[in-house]
Amino acid sequence: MADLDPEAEFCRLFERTGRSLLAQAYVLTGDSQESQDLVQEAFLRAWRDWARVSILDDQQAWLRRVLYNLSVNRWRKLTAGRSYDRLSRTDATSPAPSIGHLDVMKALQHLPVKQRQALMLVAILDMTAAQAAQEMGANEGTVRVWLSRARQTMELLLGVDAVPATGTGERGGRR
Amino acid sequence: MAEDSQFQSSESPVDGLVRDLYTTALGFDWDLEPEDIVGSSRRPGAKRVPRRVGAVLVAAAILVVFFVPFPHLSVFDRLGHRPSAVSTSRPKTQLCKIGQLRITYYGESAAAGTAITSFKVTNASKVACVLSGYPTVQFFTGTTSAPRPFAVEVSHDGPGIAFASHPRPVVLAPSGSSASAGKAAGLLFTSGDFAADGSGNCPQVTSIVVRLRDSGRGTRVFLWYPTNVCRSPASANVSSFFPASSLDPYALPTIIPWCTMSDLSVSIGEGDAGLGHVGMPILFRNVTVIPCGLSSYPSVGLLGASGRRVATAKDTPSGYLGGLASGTTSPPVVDLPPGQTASALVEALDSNSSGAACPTYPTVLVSLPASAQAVAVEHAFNGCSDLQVHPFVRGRTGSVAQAATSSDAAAKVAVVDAGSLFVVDEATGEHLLLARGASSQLGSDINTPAFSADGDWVAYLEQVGGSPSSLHVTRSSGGAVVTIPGVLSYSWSPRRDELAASLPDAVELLSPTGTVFHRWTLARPWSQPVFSPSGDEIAIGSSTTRVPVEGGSLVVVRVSGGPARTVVAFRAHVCQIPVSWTVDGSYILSWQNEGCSASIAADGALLESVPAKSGPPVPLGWTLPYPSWVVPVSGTRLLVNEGVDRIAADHKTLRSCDAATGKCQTLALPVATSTVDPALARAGDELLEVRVRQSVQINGTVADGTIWQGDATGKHERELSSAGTGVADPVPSPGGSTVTFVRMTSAGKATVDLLTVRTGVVSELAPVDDDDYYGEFEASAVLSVWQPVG
Repeated sequence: MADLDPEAEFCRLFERTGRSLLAQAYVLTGDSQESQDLVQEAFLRAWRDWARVSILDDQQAWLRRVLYNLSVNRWRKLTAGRSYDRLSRTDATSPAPSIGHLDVMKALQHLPVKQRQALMLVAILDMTAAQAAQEMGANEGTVRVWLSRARQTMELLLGVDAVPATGTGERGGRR
Repeated sequence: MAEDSQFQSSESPVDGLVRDLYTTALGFDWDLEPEDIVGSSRRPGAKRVPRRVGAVLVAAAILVVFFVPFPHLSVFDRLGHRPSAVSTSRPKTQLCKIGQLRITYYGESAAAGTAITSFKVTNASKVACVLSGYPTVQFFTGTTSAPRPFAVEVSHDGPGIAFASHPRPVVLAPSGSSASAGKAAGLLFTSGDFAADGSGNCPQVTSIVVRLRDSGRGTRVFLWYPTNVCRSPASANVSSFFPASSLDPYALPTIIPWCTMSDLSVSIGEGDAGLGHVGMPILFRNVTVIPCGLSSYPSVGLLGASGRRVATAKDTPSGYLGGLASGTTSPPVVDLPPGQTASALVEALDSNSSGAACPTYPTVLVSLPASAQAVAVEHAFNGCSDLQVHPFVRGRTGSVAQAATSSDAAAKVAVVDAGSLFVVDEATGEHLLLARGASSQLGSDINTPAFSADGDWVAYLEQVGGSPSSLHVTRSSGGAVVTIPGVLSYSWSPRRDELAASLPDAVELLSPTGTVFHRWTLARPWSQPVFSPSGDEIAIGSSTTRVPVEGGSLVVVRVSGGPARTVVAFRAHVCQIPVSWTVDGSYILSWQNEGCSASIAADGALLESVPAKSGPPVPLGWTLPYPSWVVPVSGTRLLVNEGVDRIAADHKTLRSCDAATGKCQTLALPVATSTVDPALARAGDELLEVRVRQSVQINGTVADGTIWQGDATGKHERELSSAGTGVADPVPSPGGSTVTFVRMTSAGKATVDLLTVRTGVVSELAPVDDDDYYGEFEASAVLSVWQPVG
């Protein structure tokens, strides 16, 4: 029976969600190696806690949460380099991202992590602000503020439909 | 509202660009495979995947086991996997029966030609029970529907300390209990993974039957993936049960067994006498090559000349001549590396109740707790009444040294590791388990430990599941724990044994024993309470929801009581996070938290100095809201680690600011260098900081952090190179002669190390858990260092 084979079940979850998570991690970090590390670590945690994770209604949301948390973990950054098998892995033979993508990636790195996360949930996963708020454990109003600020900053940095920089000037210290 | 219109989540061109980037990334040739993750297991007949993590860790574990002499077993090994040390002090708990247990397959990994197959054992019944010693394991091959017994020679001799001859029992909490620890045990066996010809063509185990004793009912456990049993004749090493905290599919558990009499050489040390008391420490030296543990009391009797037992010592924590430190009653667990000695002090009066001098008894009879095996030691002892024995302690005196004066007291470190809270004494290296807690994917339940000003008390927060957190206070030497429920945050007075605690609707001033001195009702105390340097006042950020507008204010209360005084009036959309006071007590340093959101604050906030009496606040600069990055120096002067790059170690500078004027000066740094974690020796003239290469981005960072020491103006800096790299969070002793700091290790663990500046000698004090799911943004979440007043 299918549910008796946890590895098969786990592999199915990976096949279903791995690529999307890797791409999300890439948008989140702008670094493909780091993305693989993060996703690998997220799945590793899922595997090591499979008894619990396997019965979750929304395993993908769980993985996303782990992924986002891992990406902002300062201690993880402090200990960067302990990634599991960086050395044994071959380089991804991916096409180099276009200049436009590099700009978007760079601009994303300037966003506070919550703003970036909110933007990703809405832009990539087509969530509503309310769904994103639920996933992030935040107020819907707060998420709307994050989204609005994220978009303003990005518009400003990328020169897209330049909007007057109201509401971002007070945080000029970060630019 | 005009402001609301910009908060709509309607699509922006930005969304499309982000989606494009995502779609492109979807098409990348990612080379992560599920087998990389499930690499510890293997499908039957499948290509053997390199067991990356497992191989490295297990190889390391095997190296430790085989090639490194045991005294060098790291503190982490001994602490992180401390088994249920108190298990034997609960004699009423029954031995587990097989029907009570659920045994499941946990995983398999292999390295150096050895396969490790592990199992998880949980208590499915409603009563606690004890797993003791080795199970009887029978091996089967064949299919799940038709398993065939398979003769395997079983031994219990390694590799790994979980195979020691006298394993500690493991207590399993009942199913459904709220106990945060002790719910499961581990069990594993090792077997040869390769045949003599180097192939993996060996008989394979597909299921095992576990019995708790040699006969009787057993329970069958199927292995998800068959395990090779390659040696001829087929043989396997079966471990004892061990605490599940040590269960790791990638590594052999390092469990320290209890000592047995045959592990020890027993002798009598140099005694002490005084005011009618005579004493003798009984010494227990570990004569084996593996560590073993002692806890509780030895059983001690005196034999008369005829060989008859004339007196039996009574178990007492301490007495006239020594024993445990005053205020401590629970015996410590003393882990003895090979060759090391523990002791237990025996003392008595040298006269009987009628005042007559005691005869001399020629022989002392000693046995270990819960063991009938006794040894007789020839030693003349002339005590005969009120015969007492004190618990096993480290060293040869039978007593825990009392800190003589505060001036020669050493640093203490409180640290959360693997969910539990330990206090480590710099001078003795003694590790005391203060509180056992759970550590899960959601982080450690115990967090934010902190010492009282005199170092005598430790407080910590505990949050179990989604329930509100609670504050716990106990002596740093152990003992009773006071619990105050509902506490969100707290801090110790810098002057007295007092703490301030933020509750959902009030702030309380408390004694360490839980007495409430004062209570101020406040709307949602938002921040940690922050004491003034004199300890006379407390600043708190308070937030209010005046529907629909959220905002906050900053208030100050006096520890002598009286109403709260508002220092910064309510501001919509902005909450105050006070962090510290200037040394002269005239300004409160407080972050302006836009949106009253912890997550927004985590990306940086404006630090202001707020006059404690009255007057407008002065902006000081944007910083990440790490409390340790704001360091009052003297008068109104402070150091601020400035910069809001979300990458903690990137683009940070150290600025010296005057809280009165808001004027700041950036301390000079080499080009392309960032500086973080400033700390000042209490004498005020030594500055420590961590330097990091600039623009390291997410990958590198403090992996190359180094510690620098200079004067408080940031001049004359030199690298404390003996601390090495990959270090953070230095805490200097008052005079700057020693520095504790956190060192990142490659194994996903960090350690707290101590550097003696003059000699450059570095020693490891304690491990610290860095594997928390949510990540700790500040070392203070898992670590507190107490330095004596110089």
